Amino acid sequence: MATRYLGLLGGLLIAALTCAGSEARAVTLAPEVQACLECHREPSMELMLPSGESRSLYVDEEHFANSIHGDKLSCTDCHSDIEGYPHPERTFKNLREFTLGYYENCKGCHFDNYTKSLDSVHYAFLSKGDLKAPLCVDCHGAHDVTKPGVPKSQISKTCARCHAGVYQQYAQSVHGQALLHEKNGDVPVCTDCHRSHNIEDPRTVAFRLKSPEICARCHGDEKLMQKYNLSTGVLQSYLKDFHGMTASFYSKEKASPSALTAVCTDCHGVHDILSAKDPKSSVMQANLEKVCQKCHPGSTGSFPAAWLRHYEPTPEKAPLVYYVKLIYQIFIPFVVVGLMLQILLHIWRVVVSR
Amino acid sequence: MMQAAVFNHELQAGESKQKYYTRIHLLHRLVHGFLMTSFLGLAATGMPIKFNWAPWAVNIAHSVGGFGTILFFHKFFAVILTGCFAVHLGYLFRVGFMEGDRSIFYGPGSMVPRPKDLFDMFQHFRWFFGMGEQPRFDRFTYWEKFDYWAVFWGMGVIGGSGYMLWYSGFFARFVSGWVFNIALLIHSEEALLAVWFIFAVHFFNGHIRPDKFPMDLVIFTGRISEEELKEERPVEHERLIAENGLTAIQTDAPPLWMKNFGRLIGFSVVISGFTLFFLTIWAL
Repeated sequence: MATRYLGLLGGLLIAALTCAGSEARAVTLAPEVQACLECHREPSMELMLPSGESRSLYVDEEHFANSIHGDKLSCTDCHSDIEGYPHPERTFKNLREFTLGYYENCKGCHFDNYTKSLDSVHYAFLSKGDLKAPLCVDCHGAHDVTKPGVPKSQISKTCARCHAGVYQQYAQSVHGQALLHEKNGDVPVCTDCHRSHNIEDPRTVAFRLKSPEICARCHGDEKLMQKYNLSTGVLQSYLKDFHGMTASFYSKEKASPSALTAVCTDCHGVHDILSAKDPKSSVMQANLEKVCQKCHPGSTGSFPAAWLRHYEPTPEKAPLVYYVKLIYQIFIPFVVVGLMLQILLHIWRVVVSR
Repeated sequence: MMQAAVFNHELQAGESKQKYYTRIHLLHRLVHGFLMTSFLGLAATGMPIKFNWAPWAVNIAHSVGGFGTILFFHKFFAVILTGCFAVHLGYLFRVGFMEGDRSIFYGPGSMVPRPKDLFDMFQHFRWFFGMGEQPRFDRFTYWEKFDYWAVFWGMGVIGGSGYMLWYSGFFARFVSGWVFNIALLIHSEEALLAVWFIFAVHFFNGHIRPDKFPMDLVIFTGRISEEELKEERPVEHERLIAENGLTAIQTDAPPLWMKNFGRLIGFSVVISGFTLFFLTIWAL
């Protein structure tokens, strides 16, 4: 009898281990959690709010067990206002107020990210009274919090819940295509440019002016760009040209500049950015005139020739610029040093003659 | 008291007995004054833009309110310098065409180089190396003419390219875009040449040439002493004697206030100029 039981136990153990390996972690929920689940595992459990909305009070045991907190937290770690049963009376007018009521609970552990989020454009909206602005749980989930960015595309999909229009554009872009179709992890998702917790308002002049730096984080990375046969000289060549030089002046100003200058995204596009080799790309030769006209109305077909196309002036590309520069590099020292020598010779002559 | 003492000292030095002649008329002194001020202004506002990565450039820009502000002042000084250029061209037109004095274009008093200038230059270098006598200069030496044409050329080229960049939208109607790349390059490189030329070569000419140290005041007083004229510009001196023209240009000794004014302006500009000269060298 005993050996039979042992065999059964062994089999169960193996089955459990295999399950754990193939599915999620087998987490034993704390007895305290089990106690709460006594009631909250009932799917029909809900709270009627004065607004007429209902709030489900059901907690999916499996979701919670598989969440990143499943083996770390118990219910009252977050629901710290509840100590036992009956629960203290709490009045929420509507669903959003319910969520907002628990908004500050994450900061107990995630103080860093909580304070960062206070600098975000989302929080700015919230503090102005826009209750639709996202809170921690809106992006991360509540009982089912998982590791963010697994898979990477999940991040952009999370933002898409509110920013659907931007996501549509992004999904068509060279970055989005690579992410969604090639599962390429090198391309940026929303948070790579916009950051995650301290998301800045991208419509400010300051954001515009530093946006080339954001692009350059990847496009200035030699190793990364080599993989895709892209040049890393794009930032330097931008900074040396009209627009980049103006942008770098402006970024050194304390006050906001009165005029704007083109940054990467003005020509290449932002969320809808395409490969410069794509015929539909806004920076394609055929489309360039239209791009210039966005800021230079009335500019004609020859106007885009002012732009050196991210090329360093060489005898092959932009020979005129190259040679004029070269001539000055020889001519200027020659003239200045030559004339100073003449003066010094004059003085020397007078001194020795005395 | 102090001033009187200095004045007496200068009287005792025999300056009152010395004859003085007008070398530079008031109009030219005034134009030079405006030219000098606006050029210094253009250099002080343009070089921080050219070397905008240098810490001193950022400091200069921020001391007046940022790069946008110095660009405003740059354009302001550009208009003044353009005015100087226009006044000068108007003067040449008036004297040369309306008054019919064509010698302004080829005579010994002209700024236009003559074969003599080339010979003078060779002779000057021979003399430097102890191979001959010092050349006898006329009203303007060859390096003074070079100075003049360098500025003349610079105003045309830097000014022209500058206005092209200022009104790029307007010029883009007539020229292709690549012209602006060249205009920007020329404006910037030619300006650096101009700054180094003025702050090194021109200042050396005015301040440390033999007999000029510490400063040749003629551009501020407009007056040259008989001794200087005879010594430095013997051909002009002889020509004036032959033409009986000396008495017509004889004038009083430069008053002390004028000399001190010249010294004050001269040395302030030299200090600012040398500062910019070294800052631009440092930023290279």
